Amino acid sequence: MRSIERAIVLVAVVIAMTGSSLAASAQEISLEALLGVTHHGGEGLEGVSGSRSASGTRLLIGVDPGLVEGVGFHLGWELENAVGSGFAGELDTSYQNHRVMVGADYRPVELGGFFRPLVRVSAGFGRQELEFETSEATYRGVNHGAAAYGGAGAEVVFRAKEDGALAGLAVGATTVVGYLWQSRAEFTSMESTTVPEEDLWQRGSYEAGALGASGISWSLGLNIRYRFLP
Amino acid sequence: MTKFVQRGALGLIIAALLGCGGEVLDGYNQPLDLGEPGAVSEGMVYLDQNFDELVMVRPGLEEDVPTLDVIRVEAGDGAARMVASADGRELYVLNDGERSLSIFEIESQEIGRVDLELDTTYDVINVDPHGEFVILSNSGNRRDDAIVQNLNEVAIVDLRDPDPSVRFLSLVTRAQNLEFLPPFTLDGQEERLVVALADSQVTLVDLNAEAGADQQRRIPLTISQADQVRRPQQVVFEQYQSEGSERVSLFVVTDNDSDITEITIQPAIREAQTLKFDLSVNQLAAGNRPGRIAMVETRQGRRLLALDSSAATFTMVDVVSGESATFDLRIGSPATNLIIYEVPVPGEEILEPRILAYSPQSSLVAIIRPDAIALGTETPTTGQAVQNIRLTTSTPSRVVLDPRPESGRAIVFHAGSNDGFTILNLESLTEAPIQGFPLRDVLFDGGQAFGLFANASYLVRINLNEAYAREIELPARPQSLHLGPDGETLLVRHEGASGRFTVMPVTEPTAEKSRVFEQVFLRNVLDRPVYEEQ
Repeated sequence: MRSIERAIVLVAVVIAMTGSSLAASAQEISLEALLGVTHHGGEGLEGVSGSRSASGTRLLIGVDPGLVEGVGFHLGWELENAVGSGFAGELDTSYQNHRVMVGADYRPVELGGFFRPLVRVSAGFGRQELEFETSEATYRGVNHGAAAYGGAGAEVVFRAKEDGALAGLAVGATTVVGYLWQSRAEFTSMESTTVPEEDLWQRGSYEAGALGASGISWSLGLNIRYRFLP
Repeated sequence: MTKFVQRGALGLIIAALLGCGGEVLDGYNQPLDLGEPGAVSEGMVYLDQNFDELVMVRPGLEEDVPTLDVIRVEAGDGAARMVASADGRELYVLNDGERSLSIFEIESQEIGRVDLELDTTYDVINVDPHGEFVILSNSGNRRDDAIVQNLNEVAIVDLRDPDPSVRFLSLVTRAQNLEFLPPFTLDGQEERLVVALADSQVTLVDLNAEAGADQQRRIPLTISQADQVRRPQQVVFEQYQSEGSERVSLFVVTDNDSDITEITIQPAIREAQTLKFDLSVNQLAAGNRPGRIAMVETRQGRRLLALDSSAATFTMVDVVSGESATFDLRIGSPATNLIIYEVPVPGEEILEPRILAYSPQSSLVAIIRPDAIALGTETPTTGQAVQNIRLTTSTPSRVVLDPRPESGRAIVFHAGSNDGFTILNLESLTEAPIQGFPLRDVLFDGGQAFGLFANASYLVRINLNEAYAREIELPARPQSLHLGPDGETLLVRHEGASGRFTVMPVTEPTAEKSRVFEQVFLRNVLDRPVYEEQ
């Protein structure tokens, strides 16, 4: 594994350990699975792949330590991709955006016992991968950078009966719209993935240019929560 | 729930509106094929009609590591045709969309551009080998987008000034083929003429005359236009002294003639003459049915040599006296091509001309020694006028001479799939057949040549002096071969719409020292504009 990937895993482990110690004194823990789409608005990718956005899944593990009313923290893994083709099918483009984000949610009120508006902010690392495939060769490049997100949305929550067997458990649905900022990905030294093992010919470096992955981001999904009852 | 759905829909709408970038440039939806490149001094240039751009591919060597630069320059709207200048330093591009001609100057680091507005659309770019003019004309191929096509109109672009200018001329005849005559001086004046070849006539266009009747002079090749059509095939220019005066002659060969037409240009003698030149037409006998002709410098003076198109003979003509003599080439079929070269005379410091004549139907090649031919009352020189080389492999489809004057070597291409090629030694009149795949093209560099195979992923390095060949493996099948700037690298173009090239050092063209560059036309594609400007 490369050093940056090792760093991300290390940070995630630290956060998980911190999180778990927080959870030990937590009021609520949650698991959220979302479908997300980030709209780049073109910026290079639409020409070569025909798509203006990248979509995928997000998995958030949340904890509300009860420190501040309505504020919870989460650790998220996000994966979005865009696949398409350009130049009348002669170029096949595959783009992937992995993110590991740490963030906070603020839910100020609960209306009617089930509806909660929310504000979400997060920051972390992003790993963007781009692959260009033509009939002659396939080139792949990887870029690491920073990411940050700020958005607002709402969720609905359905709690189980407090005196029942599933007391403390709640399920719900969340939707958040916001802006994802990600550092510009410079794909300046892409490498060929189709060179045979025994090939003596060295390939010259290949640059695809720079990609901007920032844009409006929307997610929609389900969550499950467990509140620790006193 | 409804609030939730509404929020979701609102989010989508916002996203769509904010993310909306407009129409994607149509170039991204078109196939990548950039067509055939033009060769320039720095490398190769393609015309990317999808994005109206020129794409220059330039090989180099940085600390013994091959590099390939890709430079993109904006061309005009609807850039349709591109031709390089004779020295490879300029490119001329016709822009159909905006009816203009763009002149690009190729420097090592950048490409400059000058645009000239045109009065109508043209589709042929005729380039002056001396780099002073470009003439635009119409081929006559019907185009769907043209309402009218003037087949007789030309645009004359004068490149002699730092600011190129253009003027338009309606020729009296259709501009089928345009031949630039080399610059010459007549009566103390520097002249530039172009010959427009048309059925049964030629037109002399004076590039220095901006107005008036001097601009073009029509010379018919038949008595009447109702006579059988004679299509000019070749024009040879000659300047010589005759009866104490300077003369300029054009020798025109047609496809249906037993004579060569000589058009003589002299400065107008009579003071009352309003035209600059006096023109006279003469018929010159040169064999039964003259085909290819050439002027040759011999010890006895300048001679016209004409290959016969109906028999395996040639005729030598003294243009001043009109004397001629016909000789047998002894190759069995009429020769279709000739190459003039020079060999050093043993014991003397001068060079002697030789002519290599060949036919695709004969495995014999003829070497003509013009100095050994006496015409009329001349004293003949000893030696054979015609010698032959027998090609053991097969008949020649093409012969290419090593351009170095002292070389005396030529490469013969053969058409058969296993016939390989032959190295000709023109000094000793011997041949070295190299069996194998047939060649598609050859590039000379010093005492060696690099050959490109038509159907194999190999180059061949040919030692011309020792007459042997060694194959060089390539990563893919080659399409063309170029010498990089400074003669340090070989640039091999391969098949592949996205652009695939191999750059090899000339001194060591091995896999270890070379580099393959792929997806060259997609380089920095993400940095290019995606949307049409609103």
